[in-house]
Amino acid sequence: MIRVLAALLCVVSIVVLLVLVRPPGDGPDDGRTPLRIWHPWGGPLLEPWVDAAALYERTHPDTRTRLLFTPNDLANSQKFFTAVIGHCAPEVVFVDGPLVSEWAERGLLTPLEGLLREAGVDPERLAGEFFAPCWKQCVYRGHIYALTYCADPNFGFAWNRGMLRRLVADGEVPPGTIDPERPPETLADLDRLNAVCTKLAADGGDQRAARLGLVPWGIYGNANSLFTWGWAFGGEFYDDVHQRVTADDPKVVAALEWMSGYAHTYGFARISTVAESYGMAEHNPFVIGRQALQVLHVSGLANVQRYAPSMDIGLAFLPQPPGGERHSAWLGGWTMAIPGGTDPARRAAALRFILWACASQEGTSMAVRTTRLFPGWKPSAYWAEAAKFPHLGVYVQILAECRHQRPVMPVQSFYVRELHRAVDRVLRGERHDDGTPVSAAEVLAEASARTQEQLDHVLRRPGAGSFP
Amino acid sequence: MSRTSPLARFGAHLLLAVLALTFVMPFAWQVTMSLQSDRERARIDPGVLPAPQGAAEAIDRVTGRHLAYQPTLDNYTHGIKRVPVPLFLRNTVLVCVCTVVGAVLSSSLVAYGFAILRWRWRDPLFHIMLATMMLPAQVTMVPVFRIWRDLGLVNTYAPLIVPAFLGVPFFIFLFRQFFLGVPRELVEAARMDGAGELRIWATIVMPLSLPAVATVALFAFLGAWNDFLGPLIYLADQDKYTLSLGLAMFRTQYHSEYGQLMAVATLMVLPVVGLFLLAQKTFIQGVKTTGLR
Amino acid sequence: MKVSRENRLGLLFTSPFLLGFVVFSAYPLLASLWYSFCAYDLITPPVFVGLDNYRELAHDPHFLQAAWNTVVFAALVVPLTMGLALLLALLLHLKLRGQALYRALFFLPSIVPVVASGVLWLWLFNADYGFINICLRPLLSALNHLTGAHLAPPGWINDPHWVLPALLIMSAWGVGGNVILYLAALGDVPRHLCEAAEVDGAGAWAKVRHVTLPMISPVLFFTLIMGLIGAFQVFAHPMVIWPNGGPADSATFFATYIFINAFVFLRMGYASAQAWVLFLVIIAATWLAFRATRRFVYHDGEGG
Repeated sequence: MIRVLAALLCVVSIVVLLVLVRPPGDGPDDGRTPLRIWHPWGGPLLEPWVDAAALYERTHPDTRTRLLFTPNDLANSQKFFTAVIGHCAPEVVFVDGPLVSEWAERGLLTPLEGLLREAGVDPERLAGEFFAPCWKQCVYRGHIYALTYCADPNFGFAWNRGMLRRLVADGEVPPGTIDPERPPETLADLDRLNAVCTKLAADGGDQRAARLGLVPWGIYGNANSLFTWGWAFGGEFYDDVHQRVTADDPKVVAALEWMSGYAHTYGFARISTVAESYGMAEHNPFVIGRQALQVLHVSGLANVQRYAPSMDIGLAFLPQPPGGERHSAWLGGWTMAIPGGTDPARRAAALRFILWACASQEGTSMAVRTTRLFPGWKPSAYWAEAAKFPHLGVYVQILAECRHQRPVMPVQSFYVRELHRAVDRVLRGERHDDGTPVSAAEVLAEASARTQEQLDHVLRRPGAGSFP
Repeated sequence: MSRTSPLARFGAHLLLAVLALTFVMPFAWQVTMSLQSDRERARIDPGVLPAPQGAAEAIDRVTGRHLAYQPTLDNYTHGIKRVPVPLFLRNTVLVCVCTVVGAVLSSSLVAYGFAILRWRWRDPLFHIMLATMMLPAQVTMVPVFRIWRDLGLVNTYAPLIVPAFLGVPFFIFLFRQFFLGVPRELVEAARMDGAGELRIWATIVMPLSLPAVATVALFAFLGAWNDFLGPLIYLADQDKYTLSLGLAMFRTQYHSEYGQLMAVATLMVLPVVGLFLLAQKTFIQGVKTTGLR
Repeated sequence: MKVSRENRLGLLFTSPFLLGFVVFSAYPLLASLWYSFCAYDLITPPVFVGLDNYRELAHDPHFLQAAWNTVVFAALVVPLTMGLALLLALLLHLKLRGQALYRALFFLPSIVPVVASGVLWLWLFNADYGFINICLRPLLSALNHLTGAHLAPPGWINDPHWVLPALLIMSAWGVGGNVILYLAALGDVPRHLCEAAEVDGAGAWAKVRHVTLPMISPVLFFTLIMGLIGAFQVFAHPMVIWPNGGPADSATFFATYIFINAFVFLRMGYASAQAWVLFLVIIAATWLAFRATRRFVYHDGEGG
């Protein structure tokens, strides 16, 4: 009986293994170089990507692309890390811009400059072809680790022109106080406009806002909001020459104080309640018409056109804070890279694909046009085309003037989380044990110090800088 | 409960209905989102009652609020086209069936060793087994992946299925608790009759624990059906992906398709409900005291 | 060495588990213990640093907050879900029409895939237009009217005081699995015992207390232990809804903080140290649960 049991188990396991185990090969060997590409493009961006890869195969008959969708969430970094550790990473991978330096520091990415030269591309010349922040976010410790695939000009300032016109027409605001046709030029203009747009619900304890102006922290999270306004105020977050974390820059502090002013004037709970629903485009309060003003991502434009096609909006640069930057903007978006430890024989093919997608006429028009995202490559013929779409031209200008990218440092994620927490504490009005509220200056100093400690730790660890 | 008064029955029904309504809420909203058009979902006050066009307008007119919406199946038709649902479904079913078979077989055998047999290292080993569940998977994942890589089985279904054949601690523990309730005399009597342990497992212990078998099968199926991290980490060919990864394909950085996501998620829920309705029958009639003899 | 027949049989029956343990569990377990004494970023080789990681976490305010949040959550969620599941199972065990349908409805929230349910929770708990507050608003409004109070529906996602209640409600929605386990156990409660109790004139509560509960105690025990382990490792809900740790760190838990350290900050060594602290905490809690329930768990077959 025991033997039967043992035999049964063995048979079952062998059958399972035989049925399931297929060599993790590259598919049929047809002489073409297989290129495994991991990309985060789902939803309506899935088909454009499949089409782009098909086009590449047609124009590059020696290469076979194998696309793999990998979700854009934290679980996905587990997939990428385990793959690199297990030496089964793909040839091409998409990396969120600010993560390039962080991953390069650990050897997760392959430096590209040697490959570029082998391919006959002068890195210096290529650098000049990209918008400056697009290039900067990809260079770490003097090596090029990625090329920018999509450049997000963060952010446009959008206002619901139709709503403001109605407010004027219905006499809800005194005539002459606002001009629905023009964006606020300065922060003071914005504050005035915002006061007019915000209407709080009357019924006692209820934390609702019937209509809102701007929620200064309500887009892409606390940290990105602080980046937006910190740079607009003229602040800087990182000194990469001296490797100093500078979130306690007085101008960043001033930005956070201005943001928290909105929390205290209008009630943090009341307005962040509305901001909660930013996650889904179709519930975005700007899209459904509850919010008159929003700091809008370029993809937000497409969402407005899809979910609220009749909405009449205006778009402009961010208003200028006192003593701050005019036309302030920073860069977001995705880059393409070759993971560390990939088969050297396929790196040239991988680079060729990345160059095609990020820095060729065919690639930038094909891969980017259908998605309405921007390439980071200045010579693209796409720019003339993009300017013709309604409002997209404004974003083209914003990108052209964009000066910042998130800190290129190896503890970027840690920093972002510390910034998130700092903003959270101030907006919420956290208090010391003695009842005094915590100040923007002290939470940012704390965030700076904690991040600096981590940074020093990583930079001084044994073997630091041993990559590539 | 043979002599329940009609009043008590009514009370129980009322309580159950109210509670069931609360429990059904998230799913009801899921279905609602899947049936709504883009414009409907983007309203300040999306409708909640599906109704044909004329009726929807009439309801809104009479109540003076926007309550009714006109349902559409667009999300279903487009969702199924965007993601290769039939292929992913086949993969998922393959993984699920193997997992269920493996989990029920191996876990019940191991549990037999922990519950029915008496031997020297039984309790220490049982405690070690419990302990393996207590270290969070986040820190063991990378070494486990390395082992599968060294075995050459990454990008196959083996890492998703083979562990089920090696006894799942959760199910072993569950089976053990049920097996402990099997009357000792039955086992002893069978041994006296010369039955081997495997025969006792097959003819006495398992039939007496049918509710546990059904429960483990259901849980194992559901676990594999909805598993996200396992397939994500171990599969590197899109033709091998499972449905739960397919669901993630409706979300992306800039533009997500929540209507289609909810549509496919709804389709994913239905087979499990069907299985549940099949399995739940075994819970009702106890077997230990009524069956068999 | 001679291995007796009993021991050989025992080893043979448990061999699938033993094989799995040796091949897939033992090394990762020991490896993570080793990493906890190392500076290890997942990719470059680990470097031994002694007790540094453990020393650091004793002073890490976020870790201490996470530990406290987890303990409070576990202390509340285990009795809540066990009690609710038991109540539902007893109701669903009654001989009524349509029970199959009811059972399925209570199981529904446990079936929805997490990619979809994250979106659903955010909708349900949205302070502004979420379903829960839509229901609460008229109730509170009436109450305010009557008493002159100023009660407002809570900000489930954004208010640090309401994050824990929100998580408990989410857990309550997920009791379907426990309900099934209890139903499966209730099916085995011998009818003659119930009838005997009825003959003795026992009321409904007395029957539950003296017949039903002891008879299903092995399964209650199972859900207690597994509930404890699951609660201490709570991960999915907080991670999906509060990926940044929640307002004032109120949604930071052991497992989420471990994950963030391991896969976002790339500090696997530090994460492993936390994991081993958590491991010891769970062992202690489980041991207490074993001790506390020893008297109450009844086994028909064998005394222990």
